[in-house]
Amino acid sequence: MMPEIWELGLSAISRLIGQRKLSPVDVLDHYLDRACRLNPTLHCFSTIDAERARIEARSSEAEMSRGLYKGRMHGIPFAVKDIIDVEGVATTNGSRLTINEVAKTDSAVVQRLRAAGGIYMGKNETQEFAMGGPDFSLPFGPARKPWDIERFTGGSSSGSASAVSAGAVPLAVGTDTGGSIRTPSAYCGIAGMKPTYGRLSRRGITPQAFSLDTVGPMTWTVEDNAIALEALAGFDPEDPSSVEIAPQPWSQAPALGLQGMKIGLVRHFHEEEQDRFSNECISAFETAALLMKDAGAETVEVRLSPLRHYFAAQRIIMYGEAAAIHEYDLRHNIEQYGPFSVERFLPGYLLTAVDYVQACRRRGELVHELAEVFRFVDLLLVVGALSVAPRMKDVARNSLVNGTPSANAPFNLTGSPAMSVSAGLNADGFPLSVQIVGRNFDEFSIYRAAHVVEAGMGCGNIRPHAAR
Amino acid sequence: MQIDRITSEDFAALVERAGLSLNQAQFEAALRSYGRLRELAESLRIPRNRAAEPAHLFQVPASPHAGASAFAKTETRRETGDE
Repeated sequence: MMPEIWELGLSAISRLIGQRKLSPVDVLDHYLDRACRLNPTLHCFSTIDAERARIEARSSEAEMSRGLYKGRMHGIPFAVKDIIDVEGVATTNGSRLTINEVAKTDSAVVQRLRAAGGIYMGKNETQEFAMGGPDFSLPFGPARKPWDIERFTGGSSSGSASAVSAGAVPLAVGTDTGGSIRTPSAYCGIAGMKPTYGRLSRRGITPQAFSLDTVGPMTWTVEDNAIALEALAGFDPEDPSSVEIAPQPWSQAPALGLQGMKIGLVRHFHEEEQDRFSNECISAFETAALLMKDAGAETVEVRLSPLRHYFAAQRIIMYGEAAAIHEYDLRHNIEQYGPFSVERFLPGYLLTAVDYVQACRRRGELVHELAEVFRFVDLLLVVGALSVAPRMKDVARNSLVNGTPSANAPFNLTGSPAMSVSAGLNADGFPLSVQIVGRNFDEFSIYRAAHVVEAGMGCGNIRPHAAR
Repeated sequence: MQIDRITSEDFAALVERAGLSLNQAQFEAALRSYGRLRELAESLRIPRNRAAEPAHLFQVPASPHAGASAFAKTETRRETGDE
């Protein structure tokens, strides 16, 4: 039986469009139908822009008829987290406060995807200002996890992960300040890349914490993800964090395997928190390590500073910067924010300037420590999420302060590229994940390793129940 | 002020200094998390050299035409005695 279009995923659809065996209009209609059908259950879109998307798809088809093919993203529908500007569409930030703030221009990432032939399909639900939680008091969402709608998608790119996981869109663009691409990717069983800080422009994206914010692609597979990054990455003089550095041919990486590479295994992060990381997540880590070794990599144990040191510095910097961004509104319009957000923004106002500076000093030391480690290894393997997704009702408002240290946060602190990749399912059929971390600006090696894990686990074609 | 036993009055002073007006529920929630927040902040205090500087905190931008500014010309004239 022929698979449906959504079951093909981005890379196969892209190939078929390039061969003129699939029409961008048919692809879009298929995804629009799925998005409209699934959204009342999953709440993964805050906006579905069908009319404009159909115009763009017809335009793509006309371009291809004239022999103008723009590359692998041409004719591919995409969605963006609702903190990312799209001209003429409200950037709601998932908040009552900004529900009617219509963007005047496209963000840099939307400009780049459109220039590559991508078709904007809609906005994905976000936790409020990328900081709040699964809050039922707000106008949108919370997004539901397609594997079990009672469980948490992870955040804050919640709708992005939900939509990709359910096959409602082949590419979603999320943002990551302390794990907001990687945690939802882990919980929803998809591939999420947090690129190196400065690799992608953040122009036109509502900031959460200036020195930690990154934007990146969320897709079903590693190969899909690499194709999307090729379209998204590029220098932007209008983003002060943007770095002028050549892109890499990321989509070629998955075919290369791991022969000759040296992988550092960061076991001590989860061993220090042994009662908090679930055994099945630790098993996924060990299986991924074996798969990498079988693929020809050398694996060595690596010891960094304790996870809690990285976590503390990341959190203090995040709270301080976020509090500065929201100071006016939390002083004057606090009633407009949801209770999750209020509780999560407040710590920033209770810190001192000295706390922030000490966090920056610690950051400098930890960045240096990681750079030294990368003199001897090519990649790091780190545990992914703490466990499979918790039930939505069990997510605490104060979990950002009081919860277990996140293994994602260290790599926002250091600016390193890091990817969450699906690492099989647990006994209950929920996705497991691992995290692969690279040298700055070496997303290429991450894709090589991530593909080995994904292929070795054999989970690339498993879809959640809600997608059916 | 002891971190693990901050009084409501002391905490209210911190909130006031921040310029926030919290309702009772928000105030109590923030107070509950405060001890853990201080733990995180205190864990950053490790023995280090006084000169250990967070150098990435500020990078001075290059001035494209520094030598051409009126201030620079004035300073140069003073140093060289030119008028």
